[in-house]
This record gives sequence, C-alpha cells and structure tokens, in this order.
Amino acid sequence: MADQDVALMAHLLRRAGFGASRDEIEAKATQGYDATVQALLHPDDQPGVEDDLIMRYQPSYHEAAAIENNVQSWLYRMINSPRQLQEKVALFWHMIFCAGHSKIDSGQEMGIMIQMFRDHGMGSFRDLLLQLSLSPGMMYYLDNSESHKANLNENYGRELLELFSLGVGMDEAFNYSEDDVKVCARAFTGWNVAPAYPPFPYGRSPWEFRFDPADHDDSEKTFLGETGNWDGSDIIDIVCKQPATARFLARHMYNYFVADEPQIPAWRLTPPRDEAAIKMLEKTYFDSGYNIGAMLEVLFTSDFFKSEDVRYAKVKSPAEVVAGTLRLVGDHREIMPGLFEISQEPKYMGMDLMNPPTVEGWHTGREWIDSGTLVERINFASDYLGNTEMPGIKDIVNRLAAMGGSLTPADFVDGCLDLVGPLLVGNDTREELTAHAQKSGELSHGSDAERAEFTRRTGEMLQMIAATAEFQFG
Amino acid sequence: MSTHFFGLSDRTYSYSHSVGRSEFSGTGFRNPVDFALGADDVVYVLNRSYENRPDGIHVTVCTLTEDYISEFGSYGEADGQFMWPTSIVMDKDEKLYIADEWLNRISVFSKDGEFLSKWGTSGSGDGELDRPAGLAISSDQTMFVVDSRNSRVQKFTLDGKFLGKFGSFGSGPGELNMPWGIGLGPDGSVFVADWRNDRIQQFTADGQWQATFGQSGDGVGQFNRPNGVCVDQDGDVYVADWMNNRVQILSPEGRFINEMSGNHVLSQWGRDKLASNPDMVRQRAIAMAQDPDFDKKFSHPCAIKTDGQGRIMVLDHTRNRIQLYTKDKEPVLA
Amino acid sequence: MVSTKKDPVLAVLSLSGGNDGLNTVIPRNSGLYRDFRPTLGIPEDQIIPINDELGFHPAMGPLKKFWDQGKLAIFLGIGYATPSYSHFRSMDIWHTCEPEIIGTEGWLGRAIKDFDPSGENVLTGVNFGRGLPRALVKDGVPVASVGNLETYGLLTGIDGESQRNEALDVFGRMYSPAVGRGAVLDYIHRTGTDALKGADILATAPDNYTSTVEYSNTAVGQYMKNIAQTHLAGFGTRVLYTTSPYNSFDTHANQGQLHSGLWSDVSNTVENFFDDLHEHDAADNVTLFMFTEFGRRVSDNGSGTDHGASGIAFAVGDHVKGGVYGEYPSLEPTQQEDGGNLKSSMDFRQVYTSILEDWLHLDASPIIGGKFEPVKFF
Repeated sequence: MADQDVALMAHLLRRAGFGASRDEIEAKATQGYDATVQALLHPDDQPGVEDDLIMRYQPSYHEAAAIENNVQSWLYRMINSPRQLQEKVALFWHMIFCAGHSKIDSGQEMGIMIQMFRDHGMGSFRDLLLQLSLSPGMMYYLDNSESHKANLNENYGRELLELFSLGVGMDEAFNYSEDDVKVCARAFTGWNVAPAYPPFPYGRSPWEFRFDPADHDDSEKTFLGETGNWDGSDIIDIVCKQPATARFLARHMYNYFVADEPQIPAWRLTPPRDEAAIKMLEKTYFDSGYNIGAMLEVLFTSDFFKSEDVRYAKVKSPAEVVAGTLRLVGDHREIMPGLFEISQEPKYMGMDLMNPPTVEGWHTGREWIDSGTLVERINFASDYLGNTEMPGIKDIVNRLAAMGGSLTPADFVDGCLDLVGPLLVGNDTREELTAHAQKSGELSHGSDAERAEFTRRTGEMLQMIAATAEFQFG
Repeated sequence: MSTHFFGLSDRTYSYSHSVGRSEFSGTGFRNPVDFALGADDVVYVLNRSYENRPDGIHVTVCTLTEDYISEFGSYGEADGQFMWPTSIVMDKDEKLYIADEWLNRISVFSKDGEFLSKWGTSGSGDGELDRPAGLAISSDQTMFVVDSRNSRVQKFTLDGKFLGKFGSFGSGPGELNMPWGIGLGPDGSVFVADWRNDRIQQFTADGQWQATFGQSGDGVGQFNRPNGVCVDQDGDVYVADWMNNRVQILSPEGRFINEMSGNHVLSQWGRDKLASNPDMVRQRAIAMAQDPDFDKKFSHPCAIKTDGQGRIMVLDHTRNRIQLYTKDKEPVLA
Repeated sequence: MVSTKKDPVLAVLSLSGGNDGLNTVIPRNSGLYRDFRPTLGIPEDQIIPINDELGFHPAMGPLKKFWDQGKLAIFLGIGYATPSYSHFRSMDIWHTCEPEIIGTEGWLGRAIKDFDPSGENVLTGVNFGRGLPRALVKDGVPVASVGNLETYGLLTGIDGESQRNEALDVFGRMYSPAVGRGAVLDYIHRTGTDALKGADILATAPDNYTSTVEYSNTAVGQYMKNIAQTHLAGFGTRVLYTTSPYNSFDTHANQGQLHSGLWSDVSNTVENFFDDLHEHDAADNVTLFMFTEFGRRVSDNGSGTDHGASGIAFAVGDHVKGGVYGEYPSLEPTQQEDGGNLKSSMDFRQVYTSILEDWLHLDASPIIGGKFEPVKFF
C-alpha cells in the first residue's frame, strides 16, 4: 500500500473520527478514500454500538442521573462506535452549542442533548437549530424558561445569534443589532420546560419541552429587517438565510476539522486562514439548502483538507487525546470495568465533557496546553503507548519486527513514528530520539531474550514519542 | 387498588405496595439486578450500582414491609466482594449464592452476610463459566447456572461440581443467545429468558427443549430483551420484559394471560425521603398533576419472583424499588 | 492585619459533597434538633460541648484541642443568598464568588496572580489531587496539580529510576526552546520546559522531609501531609489546596457511620498537620481554611440527609482568634429556607475578605468581586 494513501487515510480518520489502529487505517485505505468518506457521512448505513449490550453490562449508563455515567457512556462511543464521524460531529456541536451540567444538574439531560446532536448533527442546520431550541436542557441552561412575555430574559435570544448562528460580525461589520437580540428573545417567549419529577425518592422524569401560548409574545416584530408576527421557528428561518450563518458554520468547520483558527471572538476582524475554502463551504451551505452533511462532504473531499499543509495543524482536544490513545492501543474495545477512571482524564486535561466552562465553550488550539494539562496529556498517552501488553502495541511490535531481522536505531525510530501516525516530527526531535535509540545499538528479535528486549525498547520509544511536542497535534 | 383485566383474561392481579427508594446504601437500592426471598419476608436485594459509586454495590437485607436490617458485600475482586453481580438465590439451608459475571464466579454467603466460599472458573469447557447470569436451585438441590456467553445452562451441585449442561448458540429451538434469567416450574421444568433472541424457552430438568414462547417486538406475547422469568404454583409464567418496561404473564402453555406495567405508590422509605425534602413534595405534586403515570410505571423491570402465597414481586430496576402484587383468587373486573 | 515571620500561607481543605453542619457543630440544647433528627440526632451525652449552646460531633475530639487553645474559628450559617442544591454549581459559586452568573476565574487563582503577577514561580499555588478546582483557575496563572507528590512528574510510567532519568533527559533536550518552527510548537516547548522544572523542584519536597508525625493513610491524610511537605520545602508556595475524596461528604444514606468516619479522619489529620508544622517550627505563617459547598437538610431522611443550604466552615492556625462567628440559623420551621434548610446568616465572601486582607495582605474586593463586611477572626 502506498505510504501517501495510508498517511491521507490516517489524517481523515483523525479528523472525521478519533483516530484508528494501523490495521483499520489500511483496511479503510483499501476500500478507498471516497468510499470511506461516504460511509462516515452516512452513519445509519453502518452498524452502531450495541446498545443492548451496553445496557446489560452497564445498566447505569441508561437514563443515568449521574453525569459521570453519561460521560463514560459517551467516551465508550467515541472509542467504539463504527459511526466515528457521528460521534465527532456530536462533539463538534457540544463545543459550539454549549450547555453544561454545573447548571443543568441532570446528567440525563446532557446525555439526551448529545444524542440529539448524534441524530440531527449532519442534517439540515435549520432542523438542528430548531431541535436545539426545543431542547429542554438548553431552554433551562440559557434561561429561556425564565423569559416571559411580561418579563423578558434575553440570554437565549442573544446566544442564539452570537454563539449559535450568526456570530458577532464578519468582514469587520456587525451581524445584528441589540434590537435584533430583543426581538429574537421575544419570539422565543413561551418556549419552556414542563415541570419534572424531583430526583427523590426514585429519580426524576426526563425533562420535556412545553410551549406556553399564553406566555408567548405574538405581536409584530422586525428582525434583521423582516417584519411579521415572528415566533422562534420564524427567527430560525430568517437566521438560516443569512450569509453570516454560512460564514459562521464554515469557519467553525474549518477550525474543528481542518486547522486551528483564532478563537471565535476574533472572527469579526480576523479573516479566515483559507478564504477560498470558506467560500466553498459557504456556497455549499446555500446550494444544499443548509445541509451540514453536504458541507462536510465538500470539506473532506476538498484539496484544502487533503493538503499536507494541514496535517497535524491542530492541537488535539483532550477528548481526542484520550479516545485516540485508546483506539490506537486497543483498550476498552468492549465494555469492561475501569472506564470511569479513564473518563475523568479529559477533565484532568482541561476538558470536563458535558460541562464546558461557559456558554462560550472551551478555548481550543494552543490554549488546551498549560504546564498542568501538558503533564496529564503526556503521562496518559505515554503510559498507554508504553504498555506492551496492549493489543495495538503488540501489533506495532510485530510490524516493526517484520521490517527486518535487525533494525538500525534510525529505522527503528522511523518505524515507530510511522506506526503511531504516521506522525510528522521535526528533525531535531527525530535526532534526539535516534540518539537515544543508538545508546542501546541495533535491534534484533531472533531469540526470546532479544525479542523481549526488542519489545521493551519499542515500549520505551513509544513512550518518548508520546511525550513529544509533535504528539500533541492531530 | 388497581387491577388489570382484559376481557379474555381469567386471572387478575392487585397491586399491594412497594419497597425501596433510590439510595447508595442504607434504606434504598441502586441499580438492583436481582433479589432473593428468605424466611419471614426477609428480602436480599442485589445492587449492581456502578464503579464510580462502589458504595452502592452490595446486598441490602430488609423486609417486605421496609424494615432495614443490614447490608453486606462490597466492590472488588477479593473474597466476598463483587464486580458485576448478576443474580442471587437462596437454598433450603438459607445459604445465599451470588453470581458475578465479571469474575466468573459464584460466591456463597450465610444469610447473615458472612462469606463462606466461592466456586467457578473462566472458560468454555464443561463447568467453566463465561459471564454467569441467572441462578436457580431445584428441589433436589441442583444449581442451574445460566452461562450467558457460552450460550448454555449448566448444572452444578451446590458446592460447584459440574453435573451437566444444555443449550448452544443460535436462534433455533433449544438454542440460546446470551440468556439471562432462569425460573423453575412446579414440575421441575426450566424456563430460560433467551435474552438476545427475545423469547422464553422451556426445557425439562434434563435439558430437553419443550417449548418456545414469544418473538421480538412490543406486541402481545412479544418481548424486547426479556431478562427475568419465574413460574408460580399454578404454572403461570411471569416474564420481566425489560426493554418493553412491562411484565407479561403467560399460561403454562404459553398463552398470553395478562400484562402489568406498574402501579407504584409511595413506599414508606420514599415517604421518609420526601418528609425531609419538603420542596420536593411540591415539585412532585406539580409533576404528578401533569403526568400521573410516570411514577407508577415500571422502568426496566429486571427480575421477578412469586411465592407460595400468590404474591408477585417485580424488581423495578431503574426506579430502584420492588413493586408487589397479589394474584386475585377470583378474577376482578376492572 | 497579622504579621508573621515568613510570608503568610493559606492551606485549604475542601470538604466535598456538602458536610452536614447540623451534626458537626450541634445546637445541643435545641428541642427542634431532636425533633428533626429522629434517626441521626447525636445523643446528648456523646456531644463534645464547646459552649453553653453548641457542641462538636463525637468524632471531632482532636479539633476540640484547637478550640481549647483558642486557635479554631467556627463560622456558623455560612453560605450565600438563593442557595443552589447542585454540588457542581454551589462549589463553583464558592470557587468563583459569582452566585448570579457562571464565572470562570477562581478567587485563589486571582490571589496567586497578585502574589506573582508574571508567573515567575510555578509553585506559588499548588493543588493536591487530579484536575484543578476552579478556585485556582485563572488564565496565565500556572498552578501545579499534583496527584501524588511521591511520584509527581513527567513520564511517571517508565519503570526504573535510571531509565526514567534518561527519558527525562531526552525530554529536556527535545523541549529545549528556540526551535523556531511555529508559534504553537514553540509555546508547547516552553510549557514543557516549565513543567519539567516545576516537577523537578517538587520532587525534592518528599526527599528532604523527615517527621515523627504519622498521617493516616487516607486521601485527606496523605494530601495534608503533601501540603506540609511542600510548605516545609520552602518553595515560596503561598496557596496550598486539597479536596476530600469527591463527594465524600454527600451522606444521603448511612450517615451515622459515614459522617463519624469522615470527621474522625479530618480531625485527626488537622491535628497531625499542625503537630507536623510545629515540630518544624513552621506553623506561624499557616492558616488552614475548611469549607464545604453546602450544608444539609434540617430533617433526616431515616438514614441520611439530603442537600441543604447554609453550613459550617472552620479556620485553624496560631494566628486565628478562636471563637464562634455568626449566628446559628434558626431551626424553626417558619424560618427555614425552602421549607427545610438552614438559612444562611453569613456570606462566605465575608470570610474570604478577612483571609485575603487580614491574613494574605491582598486587596479583597477585586478578587471576590465586591465589598463584604469582613469577619474579624485574626
């Protein structure tokens, strides 16, 4: 198999999923790039995770009140779902449409919201915004349940425009006015949450959306220049027509799937890294009737995505570090005890899943890294990559051994870098790793003792690679 | 008192009361998966909880009138501990047997919770276990163990000597796919909840296939991942139809008799909990006014037992309680 | 304002899960206490009296010594208006001092920034436990978060000391700065170098530590020992923080047994901690603050207690003016919050104000977002 096909497929599977073992990368590369993109874009054509088995062995994941169980259940899916893009897209929306457990205080509602992102995250953006506005968790998180005809709360109305669709501005102009915010909030009055059972004594009922016509302001409103008796769904229709919404989605997609961009507050003044790419995605947004899947199809099959310039041009999010490491080494590929501890790791690395710090979400890119989170990232990945009992690491040892009866330190280092990625590292990094390997000389694996030493040195080298700065990129 | 009556039915059931509440220890249950009934209405509830709340993983000992007695067992792999407990059964000497599907072992306790012994090894050979699920003890003191990932039922002496086995993987008559619960009829016949085949299968005590009841679905007589099964003195078969959130009752020949979907009203422990949380009394009243049924209904009933007195006990897994019914002597019109 | 020989240091022990204040500092003569606690009421003869009205839970014997020495301040009815019954939210409120909006910066993160504006000492603030509590979070403020001081550092999974040292050597060279291959990569190199430096310094703390004090082998015991070790190592650390095991004080059920165990552990550990500091003549500049995100319901539920509103906090130290601060909230049913909780009679930011101004010599209002009448306990 051509190295460039493997490298491109590895890139796709890192971005459209949570990475893969070399076996899986090669299998997908054999099926072909375009076929793999199509499979990723059509999750319903793929088998999902086996929900009945999850429920049998981890019954507490189901309708779980505890947030920890919902996070475990999600991490299990990130690691194991054959519908990798579906999980990656759910995370994409979770990082934009932020709602958090610290306020919602119901793990189950967070789980339901993530499931909504799975179900609607690759369809029409209009439908998705409507689902979001019908989500009882979001209505509560952004205080729409406190917004009344007589006593307006602007929170949801504002964030819908600022953080969920138009964005503050683009090309140096502003996308909406303060009046638009008020009108938007008025249109969503009456979009509310029905009272649920309290948590005691047997657990609560799932929250339900409730429209209260008596509390809805149905008077005439002017929103983004259009006048009518708008309600929430009309607002969503108007929002979806705006070029700003196309720009907003295109930039978010580029930032998440292609290469790190400046953070969203900078977007009004900072032009995109790749203007042509953004234009292409914007056009698809309108041509497809606001279809997210169509935009993703254009993105993944584009030259700008396949370009070597954007490989490893993103700092991995903690979820990618954790799920990607487990997929590479092949741990927790079935339901087993121990996932709780692992599910806490993204939090230690600065990403408390289902509990973003604010509605603005996490600061991504280089801001994932500080001296505390870097230690957590490195130790987590290097502990796993150095564990030569893991099936994925055993496979790497076997593949290295198959490269020849005896390996020079340089070939050994190159082989290791190739098999964990292929990972691109700077020459200085490669030289340090090679110099380290040279201290123990050439590697052979003929005798049992040599094989044991070969395995040990592979584990050690993989640990060092997991500790490199380059390994922080995906 | 609620009853169920569907025209053709000749048997009806009355809800009696509920036992339990949601709690990680003490006066409540957490993700209970099975229970055993001892003398004097003492019940032993096996709580699976989950690894981030290991304090919830134990057996709660209480009575059917909600007198809390004690709890025993904890999370771990040592003797007397559990990882993924699945089922509990009591023998005539009042010893308790608890299956653990992660550790592939059966642990034996006194009725006071003292660890006595354990048996079971992992594997697929005779007498070896791969994820043991349901347990049942016959009148001749044979232990039936549902060996779920080996797609079979194995028979042992009470101290773990292999006696025999039946069943193999598949969906044909007598074949099993990840079976879970098991119940014994008054004539010694064996009923197995053939979980992933969405059906109940009946065998003789020797393992000869007798009958298959049900198929996938949510209609009458259909099942969605049934996991608990038991048989009463009249030979009626009760099935915890897990993912359909109901219990179905079949005649000894497999004819649909009736179904229950839950009639819960507050248990004593539940009332105690609300008494110290008055704001929740209000929230509950408002929620009940909107949706009175939610609190009544089963959520993933997971084990079911009957006793000699015509009582039926349904373990209402997700809601952390047991709902008790009695079988009416004469059918009652709704 | 207190003056100490060395710079004042704040140690914080967060009692995670919501400690039951009513069974911690008990209104021992109250008939209502007996009425509301039929199952969990502590028998009169077991309560450790501290004055005419109040007494400690029987497991708090060691803390009574600090009380007798006048070194223990007790804050009654501490909380904030409009209580949140969510662990996460209420803890966030205590961490960020933002009861209305969702705050992202922690009060101690801001304090650390004031101590060390340019982040020169990566150990000005140190947390013990995995993950950083929001109290210590502020952009540009490096705070080491130490899961295990004995093994803290990079590449801890490498077996064998010499192998690990060699690997760290390679790491140090790989992360050597000024490679000039892009801003992000350079930034990660600098951060890695900082992390290695911090870990190298911290690693010396247990090596240079000897003591006759033996801490209990619990998480609280071991982390408080780590706090003592780090303080004694003299790294210039001003804020030392740890949290009891996550939600350990969340005693919904079986509280009788659980709560005794928790307070026995905390009380013994506090005694060990100060014995240790005194043994090294290093107690003069340390105040320990203990708080919880909320108290619990007035009424027990037959086995435990559920989430409540105001609670109890403590400060311990040689410069602390011992005593009871604030009013015990009324147990009268008509006076209870949301019909079942103790109403807060003291805002936690009043105590923070004293800690920041009287002890740490910082300007409190920018840190806690406003002026609050200080509780004078130094």
